Amino acid sequence: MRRFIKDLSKAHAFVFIYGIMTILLFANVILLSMHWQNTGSKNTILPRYHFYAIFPGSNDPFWADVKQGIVQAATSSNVAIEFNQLNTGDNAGTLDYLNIARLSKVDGIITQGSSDSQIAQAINSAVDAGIPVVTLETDAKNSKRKAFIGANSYLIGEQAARLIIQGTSGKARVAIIMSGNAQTDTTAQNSMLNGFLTTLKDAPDAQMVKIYTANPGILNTEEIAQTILRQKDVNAIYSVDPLFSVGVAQTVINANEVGRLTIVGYGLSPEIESYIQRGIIYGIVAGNPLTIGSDSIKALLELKEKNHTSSVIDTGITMVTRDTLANYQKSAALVTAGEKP
Amino acid sequence: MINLRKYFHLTGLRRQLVFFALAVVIILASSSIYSYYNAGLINRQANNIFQDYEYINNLNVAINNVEQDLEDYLATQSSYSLMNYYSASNKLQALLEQRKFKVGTDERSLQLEDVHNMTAAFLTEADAAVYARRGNMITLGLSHLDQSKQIADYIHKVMNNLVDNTLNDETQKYQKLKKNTQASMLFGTGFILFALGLSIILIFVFTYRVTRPVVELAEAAQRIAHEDFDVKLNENTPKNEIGILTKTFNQMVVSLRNYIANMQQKAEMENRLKEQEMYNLRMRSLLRDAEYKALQAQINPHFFFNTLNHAAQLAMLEEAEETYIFIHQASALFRYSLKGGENPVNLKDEVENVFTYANIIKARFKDRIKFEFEIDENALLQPVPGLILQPLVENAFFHGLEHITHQGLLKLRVYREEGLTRVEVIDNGEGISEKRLEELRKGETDREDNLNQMGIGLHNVRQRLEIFYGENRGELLEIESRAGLGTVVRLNLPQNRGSRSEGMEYMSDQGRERDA
Repeated sequence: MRRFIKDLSKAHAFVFIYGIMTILLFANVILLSMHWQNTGSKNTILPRYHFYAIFPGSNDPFWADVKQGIVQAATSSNVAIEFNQLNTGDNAGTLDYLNIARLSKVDGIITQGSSDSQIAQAINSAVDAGIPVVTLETDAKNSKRKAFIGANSYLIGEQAARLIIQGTSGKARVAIIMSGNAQTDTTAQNSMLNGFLTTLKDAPDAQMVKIYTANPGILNTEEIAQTILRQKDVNAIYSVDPLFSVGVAQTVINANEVGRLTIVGYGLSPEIESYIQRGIIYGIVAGNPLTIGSDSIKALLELKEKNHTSSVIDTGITMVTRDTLANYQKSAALVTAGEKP
Repeated sequence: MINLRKYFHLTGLRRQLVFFALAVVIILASSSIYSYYNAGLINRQANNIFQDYEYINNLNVAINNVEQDLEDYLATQSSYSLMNYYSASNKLQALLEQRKFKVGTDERSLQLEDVHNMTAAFLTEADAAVYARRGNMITLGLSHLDQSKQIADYIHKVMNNLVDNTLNDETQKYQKLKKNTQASMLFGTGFILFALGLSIILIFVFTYRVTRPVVELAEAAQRIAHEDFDVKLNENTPKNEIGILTKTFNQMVVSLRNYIANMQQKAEMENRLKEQEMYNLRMRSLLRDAEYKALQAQINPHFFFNTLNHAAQLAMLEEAEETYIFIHQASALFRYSLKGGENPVNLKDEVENVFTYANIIKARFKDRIKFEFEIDENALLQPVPGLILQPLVENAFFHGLEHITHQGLLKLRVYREEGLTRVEVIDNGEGISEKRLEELRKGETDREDNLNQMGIGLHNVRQRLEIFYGENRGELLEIESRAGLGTVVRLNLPQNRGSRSEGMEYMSDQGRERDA
């Protein structure tokens, strides 16, 4: 302290004080200018378009990734997105939001398609009002929707069957768990089933035992999974919903039957990844949700600016088994970081 | 204007004072400005939150009002309810226009935009219903009412979402604000404390810096007041008025010291002059002493000389030649004595005077005393103070020869030797005791002792010689004596007079005064 005072009283004390004074003056000027600036209006760039997205809630990892893809694409092209996320299969909600979007005169609508005629009607009236509509993941084929963005269902079935054959060395006795609520695009499911069964026939020893139908939800699936486990002749399960896959895997672990069943699912989540890693789930077939998201924005922008886009946009299929998991995770990390793989 | 400018004429100490005061002010002001900025920020954020709440609430109420008024009108068809409907609808539209839409990408802005557009659709339907009702097309009116109700439902749905979102957002904002407020309060407190501490330190340091030279100056001034002039201030002072003061002070001390030294020198000189004066006074008093003694013998010189002259004439008339000579010589002796010892005379005059004196003594004592003279004629021009030989001869006669039984011999010898003129008065009288001789040589005489005439005579002669020739010219007067055999008093007179000319001049002055 004494030395500090001594230093202060020397000649360079003036330099020190000048320094402090200058810094404080600058700080004051900056603070005051910030104060006055903040009282003024915000100068944010106006978004080019206001798009409206309607699809199931973000507790589903698939839709969370879709949302992420949309947000990334929207941010980079300066588009505002209003998300309205519902519970899975809430057709009434979807209908309301479609009407709201139409009445709100948004610039474009992204929605999960459905075979429901009311929804198709709502989509039609929106399109009639001049609002382009694109459907994601499941299509609404009998509507005037401008484009469908998603995987080819037939291909998904085909690839799933290949995984089952691969996992059981061709001697598969498969039980299928299908989604059974009203919103489900039956056309898409049928097409997928078609692809699955057709491919399964390629292996002479493989056969489909039974098709179960469940409402989405882990508890529902567990009940079915237990039923399947009791049938000793079933050695493979194909579940078409990510939540189904998790439910089946948990049931298998609880019943201490790991290794007896070859489980093939649809869709990825960190939980499923860990089951694949541990060998409980043999593999999955997945659409590319990030691509679906970003492609939907691209399609809408094309529709707004060129008034035209391709009616079906195939976003491809990813197959993940224990062997390819590491590679998938690496490329997914790159995409999440905002770079194209 | 000119008056103002003088306040901004900053030099030296003034600039320093202003500079430091400004530093402290700026530091403290900074903390205030920071607090002000923070308070403004928090206030604005809080305001935003409440404005949002208020706006959403107003919007909700306005939509409800329009709905209600519309139903009222369709049910009652009164002009009053129609007025109500229009005013409510205007209010709603005004409220909607308040917000600039398409302002952001956040969900609430988008939802507000939805509400805005849907409200427009709702109002269109409502207006259509009103129009139909006024045209009495009841079915069409009801259909439009249904439509508008449907839209109102949608609006409420979105509004609910909006309210939910608003609550959610604003709660989050509020929590963030609370955290920020705490952090900025903490920082602000720290900053204020820092500013305070820095200011206090600056004040102390600055006060010390500014006043230290003044304090030193004051201490130095105090020392000078106590006559301690050995003061030198450190000249390494700031370049301000105090620095100038310090330098000036140092110069002043130096001048003062020089002045005092001069004064001392002057005093010393005066002292020496005074000493000189004292010396002169002493010499004058010695002279007076000699004069006094001479006067003792001359009661009334004129009368005395006249008497003597008359006696001499009488002796001549009576043809007593010896008497005439005696009286004549006695007269010469007295005249010489009366002439005084003030003016320097020649040794010759002195010798002649002694000769006259010897004749008188001879006439009185006949053959009991024999006088001998051995004179070097060349030495007779030597200047000497007057009346120096006669006292010596008198002393020799009265103290040496008066009481002896054998024939006394008194010899005056003048000769030159080693650049000195030596004059010796030699007698073969009773001599002087060792003790007495010592006293005489030292010049210690007891002036109270009346019997010591000789001592006084010798002392007087020695002192006058010293004054005449200068004190440091060696032994001017020597006495040698042996009891029963005789005494020699010797004068060693320098042939050239010494530097001690003041005495001579003084004597000349005296003489001149007397001549005048």
